Amino acid sequence: MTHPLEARAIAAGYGKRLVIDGLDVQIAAGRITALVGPNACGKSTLLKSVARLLPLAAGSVLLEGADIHAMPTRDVARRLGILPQSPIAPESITVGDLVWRGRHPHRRFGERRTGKDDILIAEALAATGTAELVDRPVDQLSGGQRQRVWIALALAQDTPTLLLDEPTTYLDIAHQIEVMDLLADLNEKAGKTIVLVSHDLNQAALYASTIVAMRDGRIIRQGPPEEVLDARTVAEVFGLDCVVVPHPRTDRPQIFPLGRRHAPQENS
Amino acid sequence: MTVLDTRATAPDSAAAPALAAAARLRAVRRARHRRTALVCAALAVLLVAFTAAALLIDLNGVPASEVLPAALGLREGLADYLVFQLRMPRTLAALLAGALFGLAGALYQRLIRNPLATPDIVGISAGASAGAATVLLLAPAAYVVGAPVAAIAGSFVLVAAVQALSWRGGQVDTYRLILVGIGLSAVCVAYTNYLFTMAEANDLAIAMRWTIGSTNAADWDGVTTLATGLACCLPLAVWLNRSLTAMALGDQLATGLGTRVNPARVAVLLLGAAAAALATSVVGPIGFVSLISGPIAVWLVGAERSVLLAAPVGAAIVIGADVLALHAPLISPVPTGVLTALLGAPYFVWLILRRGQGAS
Repeated sequence: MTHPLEARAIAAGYGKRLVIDGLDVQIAAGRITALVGPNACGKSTLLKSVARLLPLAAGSVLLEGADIHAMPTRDVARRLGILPQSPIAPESITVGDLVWRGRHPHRRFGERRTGKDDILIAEALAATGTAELVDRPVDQLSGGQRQRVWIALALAQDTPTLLLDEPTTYLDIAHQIEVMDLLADLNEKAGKTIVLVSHDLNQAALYASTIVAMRDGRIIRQGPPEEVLDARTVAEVFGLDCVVVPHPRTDRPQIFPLGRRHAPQENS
Repeated sequence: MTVLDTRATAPDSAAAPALAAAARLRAVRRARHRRTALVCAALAVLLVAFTAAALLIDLNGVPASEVLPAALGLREGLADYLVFQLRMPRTLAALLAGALFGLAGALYQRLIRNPLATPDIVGISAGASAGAATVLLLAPAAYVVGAPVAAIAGSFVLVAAVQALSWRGGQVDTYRLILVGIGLSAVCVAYTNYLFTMAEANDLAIAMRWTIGSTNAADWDGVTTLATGLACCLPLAVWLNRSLTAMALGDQLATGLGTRVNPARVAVLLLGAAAAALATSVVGPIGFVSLISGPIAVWLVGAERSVLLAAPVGAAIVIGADVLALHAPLISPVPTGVLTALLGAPYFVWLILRRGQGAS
C-alpha cells in the first residue's frame, strides 16, 4: 500500500548540524499521527523535512509514492498542507482574506477570486467555527480563534494530508482541546491524514491513533498509544519517571509525572 | 451521548453560518472591486490634470491650442522647442520615473515587510547614481545606453553587498539591512561627489542630477530608456506579486502553499533594484517617492493589489512635485528632488519615531 507520506533514510538539520540522520517513517493514511519527544529531539525538524520546508541532506521523502522534491512545489501544495509553528498574519488582514490565501496553490496565474472561491472560504470558516469572524481583522482575535482561522486556511488549501507544528502551543487548556477536537472531526469526517507535533503526551494519547516517540533525532518507539505509552518509554524518551493510568472514559493511557519529590513515595 | 449528537448535526448547523459568510465575502469582494475601479479612475484624472499643468503653465506666448500638436512633434519654432524639446521629455520622464520608483519601493516594502526598506533608503539608488555618474564622467560617448546599464550594475552590486552584510543566522536581519544600506549609501554618495571634483563644468551641470534628483536634464533618449524599463518591469511585477502575497504569511507557510521562496526573493530584489536604477539613471535619486508610494497604494486598495497601484501613485507624486518645482511661487525653480524630500522626509521621521515608540 502507498503511504500518503513516507521518509526514507532522511537526514536534515540547520547549517552543517544534522538534527536527524538516517530516519525512516511511514505515515498511515486517514489517521492522526502525533510526533512527541523532548525539546530538540528532532520532531519539528522531521515534520519540516517531510513537508519540504527544510532541504534534505540525504534520503528521500515520498508523497503518495512519488519523490516530493521531484514534484513541482505547486503540485505538492495541492496534496500536502503544512501549518508551521508561527505563521505571520499580514497587518490588519481580515479573516476572510487570510483564509483565501489557502486557495493559493489552486489558482492559476491571473485567475481572479470568484463566487465559488467565496463558498470554499466560507465552508472552511464554518468547519472551524469561525464563520461569524469573517470580517474581523486577524490581529484582534483571541489565541484560540486565531489558531482556528489558521487551520481554516489549511482547510481551504483542501489537501488530503495536513501537517501541523505544535498547533496547540500558547493556547489555554480549553482552546487546546477545542483545536484537537476540530482536528479529530476533520480526520473523521473528511478522512484527512493528519500529522502533528505535540508537546502534550496526554493529548497525543487521547487523539492520535499513532504515536511516534523521538529522542536525539531517532525514533524510539512507534505505534498505537496503548502499546507505546508506558512508563518505560516515557523514561527512555523524556528521562522522566511516571505512572501511566487509563483515561477514565476512553481507556487511552494518560501520564502522571513523578518528580523528584514524588518518586520515592511511589517506590516505597 | 451528547458528543455524538453535536457531531451528527454539525453539517446542517454549519450550513447557515457558511452561507452568511459566503454572502458577506461576496459583498466585500464586490465593494473592493468598485473601490479599485474608483481609485484607478481618480488617479487617471489626477495624472491627466498634472500632465496638462506641466505642459500648459507659463507658455511664454505659445497659444494653448498649439500645445497638443506641438507635443506630438507637429510644430516648429518656439512651440516645438518649448513643448516638444523641453516639456514633453521632462513631463514623460517625471511620469515614467515616478512609476518606476513607486513600483520599486512597493516591491521592497512588501518583500521585506518593513515600510522603511525601500531602494533609496537601503542604498540602491545611491549605487545606481554612482554607476550612472561614472559612465557620464569617464565615458561620456557611451552615455545613452551606458548610464542605464551602469546604473543597474551599480544597484545590483549594492543589493548583493547590502544582503551579504545584513546576513545573520541564515537570514537577512531587517534592522541591519536598513543600517547597512544607509552606510553603504553614504559611501556611494562620497564616491559620486569625488567624481564631480574631476568633472568638467559642462558635464557637471548634467551630473548634478545624481546628487538630489531632477527632471531638468531629461531628454527623449531618457524617455525611451524609462518607457522600455517600465514595459519590462510591470509584467514581471504582476507575476511576482503572486509570490509576494504568499510570502507575506512567512517563508514556511509560503513554501507550504507552493511558492518557491528563495528564487522569488532574489527576483524581487533584482527587479526592484533594476526599476529604481533605470529611473535614477535618467532623473537621479528623486528622494522618498519609493518610500511613500507603497503605503499610499496600500491605503487606497489594500496590500494585495498595492504593488501595481504604487506605479501610478509614484507617477502622480513625481509629476505633481515637478509642476510645483517649476512653478510654485517663492521657491521655484528648484530640483524636483527637493520637493519630494520636503514631502517625504517628515513621513520618514514619523515612521522612525513611531517604530521607536513601538519598540520601547
